[in-house]
Amino acid sequence: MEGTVSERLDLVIVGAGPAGLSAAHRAQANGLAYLLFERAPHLADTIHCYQKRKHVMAEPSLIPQLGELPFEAGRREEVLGGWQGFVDEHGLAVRLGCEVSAVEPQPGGGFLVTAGGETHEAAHVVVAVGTQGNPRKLGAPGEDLPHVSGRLVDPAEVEDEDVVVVGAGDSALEVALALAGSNRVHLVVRGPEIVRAKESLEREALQRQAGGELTIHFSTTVARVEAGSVELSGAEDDVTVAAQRVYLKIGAVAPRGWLEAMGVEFSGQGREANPRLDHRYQSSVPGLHLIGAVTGRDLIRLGINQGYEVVEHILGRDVEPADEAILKERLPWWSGTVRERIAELRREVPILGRADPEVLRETFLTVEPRDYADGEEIVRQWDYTDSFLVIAGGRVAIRHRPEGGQERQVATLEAGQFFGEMSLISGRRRNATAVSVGPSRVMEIPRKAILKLLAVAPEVKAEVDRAFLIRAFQGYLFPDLAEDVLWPLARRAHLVTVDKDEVLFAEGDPGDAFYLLRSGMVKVAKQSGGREIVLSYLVSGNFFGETALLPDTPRTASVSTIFKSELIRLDRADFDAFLAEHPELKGGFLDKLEERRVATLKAEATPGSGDVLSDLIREEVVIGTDALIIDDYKCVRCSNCIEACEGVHDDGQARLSLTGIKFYNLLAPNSCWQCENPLCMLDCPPDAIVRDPRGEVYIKENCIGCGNCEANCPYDNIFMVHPEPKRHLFSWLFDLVRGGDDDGGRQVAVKCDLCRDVDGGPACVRCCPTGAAIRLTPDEYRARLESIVVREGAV
Amino acid sequence: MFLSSAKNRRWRWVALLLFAAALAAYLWERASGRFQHGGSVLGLVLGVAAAVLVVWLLFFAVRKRAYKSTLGTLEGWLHAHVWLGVLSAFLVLLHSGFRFEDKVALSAFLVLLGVVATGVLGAYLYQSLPRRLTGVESNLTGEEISADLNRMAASMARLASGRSADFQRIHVALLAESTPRALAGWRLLFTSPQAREGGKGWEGLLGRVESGEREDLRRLLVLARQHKELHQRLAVQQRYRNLLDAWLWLHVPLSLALVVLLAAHVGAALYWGIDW
Repeated sequence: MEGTVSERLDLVIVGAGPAGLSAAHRAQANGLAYLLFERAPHLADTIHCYQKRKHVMAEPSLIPQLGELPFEAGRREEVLGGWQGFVDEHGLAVRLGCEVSAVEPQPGGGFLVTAGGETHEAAHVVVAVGTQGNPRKLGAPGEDLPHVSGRLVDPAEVEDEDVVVVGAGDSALEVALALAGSNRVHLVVRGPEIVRAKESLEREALQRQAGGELTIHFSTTVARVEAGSVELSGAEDDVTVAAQRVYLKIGAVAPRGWLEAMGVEFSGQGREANPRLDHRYQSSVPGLHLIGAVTGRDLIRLGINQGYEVVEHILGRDVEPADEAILKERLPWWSGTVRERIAELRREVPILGRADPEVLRETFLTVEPRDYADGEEIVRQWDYTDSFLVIAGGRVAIRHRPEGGQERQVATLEAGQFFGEMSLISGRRRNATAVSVGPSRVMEIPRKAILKLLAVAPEVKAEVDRAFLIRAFQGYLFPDLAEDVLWPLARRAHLVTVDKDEVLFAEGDPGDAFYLLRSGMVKVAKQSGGREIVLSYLVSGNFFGETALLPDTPRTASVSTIFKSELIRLDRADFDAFLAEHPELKGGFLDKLEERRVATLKAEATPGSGDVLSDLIREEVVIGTDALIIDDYKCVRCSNCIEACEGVHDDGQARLSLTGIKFYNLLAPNSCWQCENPLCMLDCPPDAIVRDPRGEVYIKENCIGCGNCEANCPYDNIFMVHPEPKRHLFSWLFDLVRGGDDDGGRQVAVKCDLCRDVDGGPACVRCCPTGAAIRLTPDEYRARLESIVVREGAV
Repeated sequence: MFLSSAKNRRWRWVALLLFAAALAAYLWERASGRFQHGGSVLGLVLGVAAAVLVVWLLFFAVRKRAYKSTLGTLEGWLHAHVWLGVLSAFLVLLHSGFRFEDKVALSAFLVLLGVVATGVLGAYLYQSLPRRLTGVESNLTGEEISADLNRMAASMARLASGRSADFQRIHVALLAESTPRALAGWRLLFTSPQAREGGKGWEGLLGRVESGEREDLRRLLVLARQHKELHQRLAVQQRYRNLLDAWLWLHVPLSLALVVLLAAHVGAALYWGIDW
């Protein structure tokens, strides 16, 4: 034991992030003797390490904030400045640059806390250290040299330099991409490919490597760092590259070992395991509390609230969680505290019973409880809604109408069951209508909330996947078979992920499995007279290869992926075993196969079908649900479409540019195609990019300009722009006095929203003087394009 | 082609029908001797109709920029503009009773003919040029060609750097051949870039430099030829684009002149009386 034991404190707080600061203020306000230790020489190290001017978000905005620590969404500098001012104003007892080296529980209660050479006795300890932990080390000589850093402060300050970035995660790629172009950047990746980073970052990195702006060294490690250079050890040879700066972005060691040494227990062994805490944030060590990101919930606002609540709990007061009131509104059909309501709900709805109750609190923040009367429609077939629906009470009939056919009821779901997983998974339109049978209660969980739940609760995800498969079986093969009969078959299926342009099987191959397309797109083709005839393109929700399930039947066509696809594969042996158990199903199944075979023959007998369609598919236009096409043989290049687009949007920015994909006399310009499965919606932090039931994907006003959607759009159809400030007559005078509007270079994303707020539809089409601009939905592609395409034109 | 749009073909029939009606009325009135001049009853009816039509035709410029308007599509408006524009000239002709004594009225009519003629030229260009422009655009946009041109010019500059003064002079002269001069855009309208052949007589240039530089000069000439051809391709694209715009430089000023003359004519008619 080093140092001297000072007077006994009521509370020691470890970590001066938002959670720790909030706890410190609450402790001070209640007259507790406390100290807050922070290892870094500044407050909030995680946010301090963000790049300059980075936007800090204040989600979830629905939850009220407890305590007085100021916090709202804004730039890194504003947030940090606000907190520093708060600490100064209230004189909080914060010891910066003071690392806590030991927390030892004492036999009679309380702790001995060693920090900065002194030992303090404390009745309670609150750990609010975040997950930054200690940055991982390379283990290579020279990594402590001054030009080696874990953090890029301001990309604008680095120009025309040799830079080496080590790592393959999001932050490594973000640093490399921020510096590429204006510097000579080498990215060192230990593995043979980038697997951990976001797909959009990986794509951009590879593109910029192809463009010569970035050099990526795969299967390479750093052998030695020297002043001005880095020695790399590759799979085949060793190279030395010039390096004035080296950034190590190889992650951090989570503080789990440190916590376990104090006696804190975790919920499991995996990376996603969290510390076991009671509802007062107390760990398995009495008196030791954990708050903030280290608990697995890394949102700043939640951390601030936990800081407030934990001190109240230490004082023996029962404090209602900040989200209690709003969650009670979201769960109106149960009584008691939210904890009791969630417990009840988990009993009633088996799929939710598989999720952690604390995680469900976050899921339910945005849930919409809805009462439906008898016969009322809940979702409608062909709508573009993509929420997930859980039946809390009553019954729901699922009705499906095949194209050109009569609507028929395919299932009746009871309380505790769920639906909507097909649209959620495939990103496509609703494939059935759901109608309330008698009065019913349905909880509608928005796409983003349910996806987050699926990401952290693998058992829930597996359940949803199985339901997806069973309902696909019911939809296509066994319409009259009950779910429980199909369960054994669904359990045997497994998920496979296949890259773009891969052949799944070739014509003539022995049939060994059939597939259900979970996401992506495949091409079904045959060889005839030495050339390929495309029979069809299948999008998510379809299945193929079922003839393989008949004995000794070779593949009648080849199937290859158009995009990266997820498929559910069912092997023939498993299917045979299932049919052997249910011989009565065999007859109906063979009829279905015959139906498919006839459809295939018809497609083959239609000469030339799909020619323009093939071109469109190749260029990926066809995945759009509302694509703008310009007939160049009519277009007089007057740009009135662009001017109209600028004219109808308040920000004066056009959402289209007359560059894009050309085929024959047609141009698919850079303008949003309203994709069936919009990749732009995947990763929007404030959920500002949404799709309405008609299919229009639009950006709401809460866009923070992070650029994720722009990066995720593979077609360059989202534009980042500086919004034009509203001008008035005397703007110039104000500009003279104030030196002009400083929006700090703020950007927002804009994209075509099909002029959803303008009467009469898209302005580009209405304002084309020669009728060259048209909008097409997938149903119109074939007929209308065939009528306007002129094939002798230049390609 | 835009005027072949089935959806908007009705406007040509509307124009034809109105013309037929006006002509029939004119012939009827003429035969009965009631039509003396533009101030007679039918003359006035035709004159007012033509004046209203001209004002409505001018309104096209407003409608084109009223992006939020739900008053039909702009394509429909342009079809109507073309056919009713042609009709306006015939209506004025009938309104005049083929008498052209009043200088203001005559001027207005001649300017109207100019407006209609330039409009017909524009319609013809809109019909025929997009197809030809698409042919020369193929896969390359103007921006892409410009980028290629810059790359070639940079390669030529690299070849020429450090060479003799003669070599340098040839390099400068070669570049100058494809450098746009003043009013190049307007010149393009009246000269066909395709007619000019690049590289004629260039072989003789080889004798002007030392033998040690000839091989590099030959490479420079190859680059210069490619540069010129690409430049011509860009010029052809630009020519078509300019043509698509240039007719408006006649059509719009003439239309404005027409407004002034029409106002003068109407003012004069009202002031001096309509019963000449």
